[in-house]
Amino acid sequence: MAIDLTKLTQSELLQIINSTPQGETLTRSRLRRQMDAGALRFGDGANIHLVRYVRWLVDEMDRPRPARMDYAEARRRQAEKNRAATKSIQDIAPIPEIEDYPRRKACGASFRIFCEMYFPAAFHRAWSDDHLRVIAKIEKAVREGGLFAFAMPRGSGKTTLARCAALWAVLYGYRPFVCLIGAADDRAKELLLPIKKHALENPLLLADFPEAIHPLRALENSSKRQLQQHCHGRLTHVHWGQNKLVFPTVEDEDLPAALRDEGLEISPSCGSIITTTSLDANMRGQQHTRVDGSIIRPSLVLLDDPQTRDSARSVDQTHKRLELLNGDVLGMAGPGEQISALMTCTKMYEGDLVYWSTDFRPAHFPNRLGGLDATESGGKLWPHRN
Amino acid sequence: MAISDDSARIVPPVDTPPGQAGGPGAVNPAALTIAQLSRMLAVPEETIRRHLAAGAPAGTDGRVHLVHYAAWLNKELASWGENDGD
Repeated sequence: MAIDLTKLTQSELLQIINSTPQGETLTRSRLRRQMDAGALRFGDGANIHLVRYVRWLVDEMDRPRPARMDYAEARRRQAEKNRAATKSIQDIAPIPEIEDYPRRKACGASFRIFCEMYFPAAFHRAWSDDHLRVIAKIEKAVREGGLFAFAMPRGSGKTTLARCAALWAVLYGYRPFVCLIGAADDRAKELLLPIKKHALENPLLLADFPEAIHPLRALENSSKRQLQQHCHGRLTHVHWGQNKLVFPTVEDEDLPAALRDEGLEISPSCGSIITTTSLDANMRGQQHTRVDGSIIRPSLVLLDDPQTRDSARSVDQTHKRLELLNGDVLGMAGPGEQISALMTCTKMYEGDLVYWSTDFRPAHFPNRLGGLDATESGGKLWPHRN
Repeated sequence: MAISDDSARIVPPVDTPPGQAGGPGAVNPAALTIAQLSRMLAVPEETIRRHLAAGAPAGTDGRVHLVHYAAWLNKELASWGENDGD
């Protein structure tokens, strides 16, 4: 059956155009766009008149168009377009205002209130006297300095307290560089994970510390986004790594109004850093170069259970760890600088690291950290726990 | 596809006077001279010659198949990115 070349359907046109030796030269989607552009010029809106269609194609060929781009130029333009789109997405402005500044300030004055306010799920039980003493020691170590070790039973919340202490120290600008140290590498990485999770998920932290948390949350747990993140064109210099978290640099008019009213030009946590490492790793040389070129070293070290059961059993390993503790760890601040250190631990054996580092051993071990006399199991730190 | 024998009669030239479609003077759209194609499409011969020089398909006798020409035009427009919606 002959086809009527003056009334071709779209399918018929596609069939005859694509049946030439040139192969497929017309796709259905392109034909649809051609119909949108000129269906009434080469047909009745539904059917196509072949001769008029060819005439329309000739006109299209002769239509003035921008200079034809070569492949490299097209690629360059597309890349430029992509960069502009990416840059736009990576602009985190505006930084939200602080929801409750008096609440934030009250929590800055008290580590206990900070824990209760921003981490109610972790600290929902009543504090024991030992907890309150530990909290007081943490406050002192963070704000004034000092070396403290506290032996607490397993499950007493010592690791959580250590993590919250790191956040408290950084968010309020008490300490610009906090280093968390675990017994082994895998344990050390786990120390940072809950802090990152709070940055991503804790709504109250975002509400009261928007200049610190909003840029971190905007990364959506992707370290790829950190490099170009900016606020009104100024890079935030955040870092979102497995072992390192650098808080954003937010300045001047980008700060929430409450902080500007206090006369601040940069956020308290600007460029502050939390790192993790382990006693097994090479801890020396921990330093960070800030945006202004200044180099900072850890000024607060939080050691979380820095011994394993194997090392606690071994006299040699215990002595090696004690040497690391007193040499590498306490020397992290750099020559002539005083470092603050908090060690949370659980005594496992007589003569283990905890034995030598705390008041479990009343004798004067020359290098012990000193600190609390909380007993391994005698003091029930959580009143409601067995 | 059935455009060979009878297609010359069923494809009336665009803007051609009545009576020229079909009949003894009808043209074969599968083998058009440049002049015939020019008249059929109402475009200058020069335009068609330019397209042929640029690679539009033609037979050894220089005649042009209308459908092959349409396919070539589509190919060229596609290479320009025309009608791609970008």
